[in-house]
Amino acid sequence: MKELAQLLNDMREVGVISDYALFGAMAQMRYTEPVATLDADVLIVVSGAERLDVLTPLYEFCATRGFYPEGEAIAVGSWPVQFIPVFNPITQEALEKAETADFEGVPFRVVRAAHLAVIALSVGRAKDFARILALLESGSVSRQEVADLAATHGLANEWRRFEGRFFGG
Amino acid sequence: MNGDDSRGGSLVGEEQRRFERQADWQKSLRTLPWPEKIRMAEKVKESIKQLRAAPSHKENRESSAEE
Repeated sequence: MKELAQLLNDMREVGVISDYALFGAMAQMRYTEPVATLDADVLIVVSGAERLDVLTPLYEFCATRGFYPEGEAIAVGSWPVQFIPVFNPITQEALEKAETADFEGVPFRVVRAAHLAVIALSVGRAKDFARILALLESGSVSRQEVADLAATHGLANEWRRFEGRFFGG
Repeated sequence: MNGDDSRGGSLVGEEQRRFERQADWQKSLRTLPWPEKIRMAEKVKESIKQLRAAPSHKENRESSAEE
């Protein structure tokens, strides 16, 4: 994972990407107990994003560092990594407001708990709901914070349904 | 009969405490450093991959697909 942090910082430095932030289960684990996952998910903003093949320069850069595609991911160390260009306002904001964490001495941009929860809410699978519950239980984000952020991104109904289902509210 | 009930109650109580200890232990993992949690997830990932590669897993998937 340290390798991935270094790779992403290098990509940003040379301008292959404008910015990045780790999200998904890997980011969740900053706040919760460890969870099972098979890959790492990284939100990115690609420089020159008007290109159709937005990921090509990124794949080329990875190859120069000895990291090659493995299915739809790139194998970095022991982890398949999915690079996902920001695709809507919530992922855009999640990336912009990401924190810079320290991963064994390497700066690593990571999506904050509230944004992790609202992205999970927007996806809405069972494992996404489990993520929201784990984040709430960890105390890293409150129900009110999630409610406010969800409302900002047009997900107030989804949040109400979630609360009704899991908190009986 | 009462003795049996009481022994049964005691067993249930012991199991309940065991679950509580397990839950406390899991919650305590939250406080581990983030890199340590990632390392734990990495070990779990390898186990999942091995399980998925196991013949019994493949057979189950194939029989589910046929149903």
